[in-house]
Amino acid sequence: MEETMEPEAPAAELERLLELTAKGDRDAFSRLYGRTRAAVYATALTVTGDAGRSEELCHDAFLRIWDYASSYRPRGTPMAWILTVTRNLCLMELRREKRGATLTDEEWAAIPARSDASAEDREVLQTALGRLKPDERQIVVLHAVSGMKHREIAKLLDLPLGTVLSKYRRAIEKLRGIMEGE
Amino acid sequence: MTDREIELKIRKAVENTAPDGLSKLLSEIDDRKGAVNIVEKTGKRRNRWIGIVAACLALVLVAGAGGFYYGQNYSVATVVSLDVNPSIELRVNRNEKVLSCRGLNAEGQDILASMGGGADLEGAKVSVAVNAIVGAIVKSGYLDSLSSAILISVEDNDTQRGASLQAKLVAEVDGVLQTASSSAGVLSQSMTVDADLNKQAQQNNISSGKAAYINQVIALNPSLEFDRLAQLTVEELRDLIRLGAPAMPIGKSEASRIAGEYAGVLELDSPAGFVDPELDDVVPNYEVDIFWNGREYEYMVDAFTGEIISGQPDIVSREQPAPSGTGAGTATAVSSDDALNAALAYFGEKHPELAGQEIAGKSVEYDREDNDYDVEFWCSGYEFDYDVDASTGAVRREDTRYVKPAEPGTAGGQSSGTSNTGTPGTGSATAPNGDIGADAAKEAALKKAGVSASDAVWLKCQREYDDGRLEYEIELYSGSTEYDITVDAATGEIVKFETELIDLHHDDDHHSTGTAAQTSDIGADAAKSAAFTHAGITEGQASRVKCERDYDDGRLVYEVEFKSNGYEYEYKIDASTGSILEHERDWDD
Repeated sequence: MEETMEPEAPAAELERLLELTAKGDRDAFSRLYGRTRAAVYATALTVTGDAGRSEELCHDAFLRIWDYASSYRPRGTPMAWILTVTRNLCLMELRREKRGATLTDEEWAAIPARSDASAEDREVLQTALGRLKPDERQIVVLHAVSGMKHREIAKLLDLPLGTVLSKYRRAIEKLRGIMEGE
Repeated sequence: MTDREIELKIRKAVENTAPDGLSKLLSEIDDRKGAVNIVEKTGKRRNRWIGIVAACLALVLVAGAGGFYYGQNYSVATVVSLDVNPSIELRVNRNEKVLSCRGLNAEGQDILASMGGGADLEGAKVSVAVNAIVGAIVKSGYLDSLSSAILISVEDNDTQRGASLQAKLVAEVDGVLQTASSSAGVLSQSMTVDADLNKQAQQNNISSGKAAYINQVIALNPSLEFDRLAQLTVEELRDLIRLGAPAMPIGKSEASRIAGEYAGVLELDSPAGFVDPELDDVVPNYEVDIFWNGREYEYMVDAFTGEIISGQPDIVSREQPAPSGTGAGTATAVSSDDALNAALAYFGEKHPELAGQEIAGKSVEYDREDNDYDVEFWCSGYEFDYDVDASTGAVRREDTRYVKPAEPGTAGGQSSGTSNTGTPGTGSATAPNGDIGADAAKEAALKKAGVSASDAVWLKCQREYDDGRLEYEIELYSGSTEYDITVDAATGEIVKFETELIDLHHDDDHHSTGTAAQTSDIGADAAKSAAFTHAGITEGQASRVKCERDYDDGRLVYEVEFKSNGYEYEYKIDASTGSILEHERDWDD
């Protein structure tokens, strides 16, 4: 099956929404939220490994985006900026708890408590992604959900591009095995 | 199942389970005011301020002497502060008259020296006083750099009055800067009085406004220390926030010291250094100009690591005295400001028909690989893109592109790209409004890359709109090269083609042979044996053994997995030393 995904929020549109948000435009902020909610949530989820905390952090991240939208400088990387803000917030939260920034495999709890997630979504989120290592999970989820390039993800996570690419491939291969019922 | 299908499943699952908290957010943002508003302006020329500033000062004196009016009210209603590097505070009564004015740091006191240390401004309307002070700050060169910034803070418990004065002062300062052709950014905020903040400010000789701004940086990264941030200029703080406050920048004086040491001039008294923070560059840096022996030498110092990015070492021992009358020597590199000015000058000459039109969205990025600056801006519906040689300042290339706004119901605007010959105003070429499809786009990409379909590993093929144009963004790798290719969806034309050499070393079984592939590689057999020894078993007792060579954070490692006695083992072993980096044991379910 050959296909392309729906065009993701183009950078220019996100930039315009950020610009309007900076001017206090609630509608623009709502649209920005709609466009980036999944990516922000995914970032929080892969950093903390916990759906409940990610919901709170996602909320805090958007408050911060509202407050700081005016400091974004248009240079074609609005998603990277939004996710940097989110990631810093999450890491800060983990540091505050003195848990360090690393996640162990047991801590993956991706299904929110109040969720009517379908069986397939549960399977993908909890079981399939749960079998990846935290860094593999982070890379593959960011790539799938935010639409950022590997190079941008490498920059966000402060990893060499080669590492991101190899972890991405490994994660995809593992997921393929799991999803195809190896 | 394709990579894309796997990704789609993940995306769908996250989208379906991500909580929708918009209404809660909207109710909360009502109580928050946008923290700091940034007004960005265009600036074309510098150093034309002298006459203008003199005029501003004359105005103050007239207003001060003629309208020397202390209202009935001597009590402070509002505190206005101005911060660049100089910090100046004005106490203002409810009629917007200045009750007192003082410099909070040495630079602030210097600025006010020509105004009786601030006393001359007492009784003047605050907008007039601010006008004069900003004029003096411009005159002192603090706002010369394109990326410089001034912060105006209005502290008032009457939030409505504070916000209204904030707007008035921003317009005033904007006017002064515009007249002076300064392109400095104007940041402003209004806030209520906060005793803790005032204390923090006093301890560091800065204004409460700057203290509030610093606290925004700390909110982004609490590991940064207030007193060190207080040493930074408003420009550095602003750029730090824009970057998400990843770490503490080394600061201007440390940058100057590092560049001086590298240049070998640290021990000499003579060299004068000028430091311009460029934290908003691709590689955040401090640009340090060192003047020595009649020449100007430019250094770029990494803003966070202190590493020298560019510049000549040991200039004292290498350089001959400059020929007289040549001014700056050949060693002078071109700054990002110079690059922007060169592009603007080229633009001005080439496109007189656009004279006077607003120029927006200026950006300058340094490309280390090509040693040039990529300068971009918009004017009259066109995007202008220049490559400026970083050694000579010459414009190497001009691209103009007309971007037609997208019309409802169409696939998006169309554009025409022209190189060197682009003449805005003559209209755009029309392209067929279609979509060649992902397969054709991939085929075009393979052809351009010279890679056969069987050798290509696809990372991405995504349809996107860019500047109103529908494109396919394609990423693939083959061998050790990653290709990043953009194909115009309407024409199949290659719009962008970039390659990058990468270290992959992933998963391929032939990498996991027993032979050491390099001198510092112990080989897969030794790695497995290290893991078995650690687990306390022999190779014969292990089943489903997997051994993969991989790069982890730039280090070559072996990842060894096996099962034994009802357990599942995972090891990560340093490929050069054989030491165990990580190990895990789980019940084998």
